[in-house]
Amino acid sequence: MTLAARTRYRLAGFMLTLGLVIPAAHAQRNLTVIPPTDPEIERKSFQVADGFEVNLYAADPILAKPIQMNFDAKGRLWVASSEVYPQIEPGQKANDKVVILEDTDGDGKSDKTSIFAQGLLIPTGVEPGDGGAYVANSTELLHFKDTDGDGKADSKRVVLSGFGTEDTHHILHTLRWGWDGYLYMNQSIYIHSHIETPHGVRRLGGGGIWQFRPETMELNVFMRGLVNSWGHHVNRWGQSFATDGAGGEGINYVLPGAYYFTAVDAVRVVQGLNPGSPKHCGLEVVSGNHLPEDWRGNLITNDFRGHRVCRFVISDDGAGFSSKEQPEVIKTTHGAFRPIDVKMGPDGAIYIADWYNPIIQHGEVDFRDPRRDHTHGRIWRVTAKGRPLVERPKLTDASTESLLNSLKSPEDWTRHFAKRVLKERGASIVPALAAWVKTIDSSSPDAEHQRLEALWAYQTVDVPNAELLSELLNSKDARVRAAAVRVVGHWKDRVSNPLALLAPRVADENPRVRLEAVRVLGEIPELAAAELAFQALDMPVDKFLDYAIWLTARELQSVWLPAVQAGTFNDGGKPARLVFALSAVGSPAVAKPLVEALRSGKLAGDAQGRALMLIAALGGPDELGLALDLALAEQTPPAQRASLLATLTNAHAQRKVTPKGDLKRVLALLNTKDQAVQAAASRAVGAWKVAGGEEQLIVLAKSADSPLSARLGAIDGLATLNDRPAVDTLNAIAAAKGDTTRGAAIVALAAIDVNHAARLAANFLADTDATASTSVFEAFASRKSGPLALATALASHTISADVAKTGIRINSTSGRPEPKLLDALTKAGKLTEATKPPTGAEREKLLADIVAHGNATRGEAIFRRESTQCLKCHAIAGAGGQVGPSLESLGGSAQVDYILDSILEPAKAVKENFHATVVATTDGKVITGVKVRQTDSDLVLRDAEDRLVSVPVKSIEEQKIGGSLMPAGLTDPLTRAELIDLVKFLSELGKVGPYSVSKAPLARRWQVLQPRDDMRMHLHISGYDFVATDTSFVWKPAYATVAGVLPDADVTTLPTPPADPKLGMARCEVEVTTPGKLRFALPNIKGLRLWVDGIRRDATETLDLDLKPGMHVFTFLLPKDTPTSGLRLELRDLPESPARAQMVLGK
Amino acid sequence: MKRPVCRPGPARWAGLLVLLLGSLLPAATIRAAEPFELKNGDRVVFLGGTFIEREQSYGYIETALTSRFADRDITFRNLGWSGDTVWGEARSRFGPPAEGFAHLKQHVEALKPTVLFVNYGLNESFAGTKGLPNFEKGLNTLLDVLDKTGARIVLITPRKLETLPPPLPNPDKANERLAAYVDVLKKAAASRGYRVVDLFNDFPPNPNHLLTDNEVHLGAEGYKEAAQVILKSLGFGEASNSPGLDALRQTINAKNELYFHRWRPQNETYLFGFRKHEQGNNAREIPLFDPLVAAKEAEITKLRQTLSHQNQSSPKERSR
Repeated sequence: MTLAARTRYRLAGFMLTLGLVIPAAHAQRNLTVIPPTDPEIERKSFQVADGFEVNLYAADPILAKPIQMNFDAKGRLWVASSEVYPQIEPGQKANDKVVILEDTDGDGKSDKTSIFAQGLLIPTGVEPGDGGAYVANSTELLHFKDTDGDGKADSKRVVLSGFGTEDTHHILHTLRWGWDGYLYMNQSIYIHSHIETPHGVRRLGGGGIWQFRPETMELNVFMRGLVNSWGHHVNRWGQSFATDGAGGEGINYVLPGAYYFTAVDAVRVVQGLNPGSPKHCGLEVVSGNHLPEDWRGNLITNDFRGHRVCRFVISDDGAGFSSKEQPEVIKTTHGAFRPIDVKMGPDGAIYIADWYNPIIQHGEVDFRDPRRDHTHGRIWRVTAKGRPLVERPKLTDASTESLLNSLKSPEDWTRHFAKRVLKERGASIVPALAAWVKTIDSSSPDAEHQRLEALWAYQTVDVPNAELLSELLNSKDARVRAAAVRVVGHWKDRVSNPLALLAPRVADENPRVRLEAVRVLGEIPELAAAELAFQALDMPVDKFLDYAIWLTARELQSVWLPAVQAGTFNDGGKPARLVFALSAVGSPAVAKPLVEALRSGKLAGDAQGRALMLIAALGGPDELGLALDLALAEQTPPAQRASLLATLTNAHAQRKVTPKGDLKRVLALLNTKDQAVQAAASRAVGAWKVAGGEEQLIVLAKSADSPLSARLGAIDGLATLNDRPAVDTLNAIAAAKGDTTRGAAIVALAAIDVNHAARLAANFLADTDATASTSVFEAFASRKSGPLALATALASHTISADVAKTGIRINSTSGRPEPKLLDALTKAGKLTEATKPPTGAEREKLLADIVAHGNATRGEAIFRRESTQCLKCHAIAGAGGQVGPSLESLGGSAQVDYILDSILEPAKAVKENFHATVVATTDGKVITGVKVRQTDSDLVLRDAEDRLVSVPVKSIEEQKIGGSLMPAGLTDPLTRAELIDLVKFLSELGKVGPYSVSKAPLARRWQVLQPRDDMRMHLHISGYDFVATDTSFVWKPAYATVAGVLPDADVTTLPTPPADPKLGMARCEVEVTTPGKLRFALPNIKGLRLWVDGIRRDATETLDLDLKPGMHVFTFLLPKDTPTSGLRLELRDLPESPARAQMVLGK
Repeated sequence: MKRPVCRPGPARWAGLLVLLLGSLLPAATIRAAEPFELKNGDRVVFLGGTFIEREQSYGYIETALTSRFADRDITFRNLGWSGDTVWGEARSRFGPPAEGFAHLKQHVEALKPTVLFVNYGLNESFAGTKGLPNFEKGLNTLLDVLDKTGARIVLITPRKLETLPPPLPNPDKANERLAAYVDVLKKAAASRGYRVVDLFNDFPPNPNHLLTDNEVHLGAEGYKEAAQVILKSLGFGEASNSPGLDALRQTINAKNELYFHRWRPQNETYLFGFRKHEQGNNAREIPLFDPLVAAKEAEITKLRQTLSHQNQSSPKERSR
């Protein structure tokens, strides 16, 4: 060891000590263990995938804060880096850089650095090409050139400008050339871009991927949405995938033109392939001979919060894909390792850009937090031990023939850069290309892929070749046909009769080819294109294809809807096509054509039901009359009758449209046996003010013998009638002690006279329990003057502590908490003042104790307690409530102080995308929730109770951003020791160790059977089989632990017949997308009984099942008299099977 | 129920016309006839889309105007925003398009302009003939708002798109559409008595001397020439080419960069937007750009005063 190296290690040791000492002196910094910055210490902390090793390719000081990297055809690595991020300081010179790193001797380490460009402001992307490099520089896309070859740019050109900068980790990023010669670029959720081109202005508000062709200046939006998509790459067959640095759905298959999570104006979105994943940054499809066979075609991305480099395997799943996570490439507990980009290198190794920072994010952590690192950064190189590297190809000086032969390479890197060099040589390569296509050996297994590469080469130099295109549209390989279909879209104005080329592909035997064809048709605004696209409905349609047809139907509505209205639309004698198309549009214009379709008598079954629901939702009086006829018809199934009536009542409330025809007929339904129909009819009677109905509603509402749901319906009906007899009845019920509908009557009256209702409510709250009080508190929270009225009315009342706490929670999550109501509830409930969050030294001591003494195991148990309410709103790995952010990588990204503050003072910092939206409506209501989506017609919010609430945009009077939906004081009931354990647990989530979510697809969302009075008798008479199928039982949500087990303690013991042992039952769901044989692992089978879809199966450790597409329910019965290790169900790979499935997650 | 409408008879029409002529036309004519110049103490604001936005980093137009009136204390602010329209569409951020217009108004008013150079019409023109009435309405709404600032308004028309070889599009149709929009601009200017700098007609593309690489947006050479056209069109003679000019331009560009950080700071979501409760404390940094802008302006003053002395010592240079 040299002296210098020894000193370095000693220094590192010194800094390690400092890491422990500084905190005591500066408690604020105590919150993070700032790791030593020696790259070797960092490298040694890596746990690397079996058979792989990692070496340092480049490190600070030659580069600082790398953000994006891309290779060029010479094998040089270009890195965009920013020390200014997150925000330029007044007086600071914007001097961020693009550096070029080069490994001239091929030893796997960079030995030459050039500062290509400087003076930049937070450059977030660089992609070499067109004789220089494109650089994303805040508002602009720049192109720099080095004309004299000294490694430094000497010319700069603004290519595009007008990109938004509302958030510097969302600005233009992830620049990548596609196989097709387009430059793809991403922007994220807060960005609003307005770009002038010679083709007009292109605008994109929110996240998405741009598709840009510099030489034509064509700029399009390739997909919309995702929160912060810092990963995008294309596989060998031209299919795009994206990752999301703030979304939780893992790998996203990019369906061209589709909308994803958070997309502005999205009516419907495509979901990611790994729901419940941590957030990911960067994405590379890896390939080539250096990697072991089972790695080729894998997707590599980074869990930068959890300090992990992750690997996914993608496989076909119908028209789309499924994705499964594998063991990590790298994982570490080193708190500053922040892998954020990944690229294959010319030598076949995998390169990882490490942003290196203990602090990430600048929304939640101060811009000027001293713990932010501004000077370090590393590039790591991952190689397979004992496997030869790929010989670094020499492309820039190669002959065109040799470049064309490189298109046969097994390395994506080589093929990609060969095409880039061909591109720079331009159309002059076409004769050689044409000759090369002829030399492709058809007997080679790669022949079809080589032809596809040739087609992309034509596309890259922008010279259409209709003959080759047509040949590949008929390739025997479906993946090639799918890719060729997309090229038809790019060349649609330059090849003759694109519709004729696409027609056979809409009926292709492969669903992905059909999907691609349907999407290309969406770009051709002609009636014939729409009619052709709808033919895809004649063949099986999975969720991906359904989305594609739906999107195309909407994009082309201006060409086909008028044809439908004019009666010239050709549905090929298949009215289901028309119903699909009309329901995709969902505008009032479709009601009439739907009625016509119904009258034609050609609609049957599903299509008929779907059509009627649409008519009821969108139609005028005539159309609604038809829906009413069906609701009244005896032969209509009760569930459909109830939902039709509900939709019709809604049409009256929201659109003031009443069905034509004799409304009195609905009175007959007030006495029907089906409770749901009865309730729906009661509401309809009230809404339509049906003559003679009021007396019946009064009887129904007052009768203690009527079913509860019917009485509630009658109360709602009376509330809508709002005349003297109705109000008198509601008043009587509202004052009737012990009446189960008392609360509902008060809720109804709150809409009529809020002050009067508040007085009744105060009396009611004094003698009710917390559960019954919830709806009453919510009713007052949702009226403008409700909270104040209730506060006044409560003045001289005493209520139970639990009721008071319920009221306080609802008040605090309403988005506009009323301090007077808080005071009134505290007084009425005789509660002590809310615990004040600790400050100063007390807080520092608490933080230090969390780090030193917190116990994550105990913390998890506290987290899972029902009374703590965490899982009611938060999910881990996709299982749990959806109101708040999911928590599986919380500890990897957030500091302990941030976690503690977020619990004690939820309003202090709110995660992006989780701000409450507070809406005041024209009918005097106030609705609060997290915005899920907003379209021209509706705003959909998720409220604090995890319900989706749809608000018609027309009814919105005012809309503003509120704080957090999380109530303060949730942890008040916890002891200090419990709070310490809880925060410790949360701070471990996502860090390498026992609280990192396993990659295995496990059943995480369970439902547990709840005891019922008559259960013992039922079980005695009928045994247990029927439980799995009987729908009258109540099941309560339960969630697996981070380790993926449903503990037996969480399964409720049932009142079993005396002769039986103590037992409990739980169930979970599996969604099958491609049918076939699936394997499940069930490790703890002792004493278990299992039903799959209600049919008894033997519970074996390995369970092979042949399952059809759709939902499947696994119901378990487990012993409760002796402790067991709980329930664990895992979906396993069955390599030879085409079947694809996933565990159902959610709340 | 319809409101009763009072229809003016022919005589009333005539009266109305006289009133109109009496009150509006002479004023308009007077304003247009006044010799236009930049005065001591003027605050000049540039407003428009990419053409205006990029001027702030090239700086030729601002430099030409500064040096032409080198003896006067004039400050310039650039409010260009790529992709903008008369409706302020590019300025809406998270809000609906209407909010963009509110932002535009707010930004202009806050600067208390005495002179406004306004450049719109290109982005709107892609809507073609059927978009014209909407444009005319939007333009007049904008000009009504700008007029209230009391500033002298100059409309700069968009330039014609240059014809570049394929694969860039043939711009003939785009130019045809644009011509109609330029007519609307000129009509509005005439009726309001505003000056017009007609880049569409007075700065025509020359196939032997291309100034763009994408048909639309000028490079350095283009802005240099645009500055000449603007000066000439306003009757200011030719722009100076004194040797001190480049230092002045660099300083102007530096000032503009600082001002850009002041009025269009990054991370607006956290500093001023709906997440300001998190990082709003850092918004205190943003006004700290003001003294930096002022310091650059002091440098600009020194540089222009030097120029002014040169101008005075060589009057020939100035008139050339």
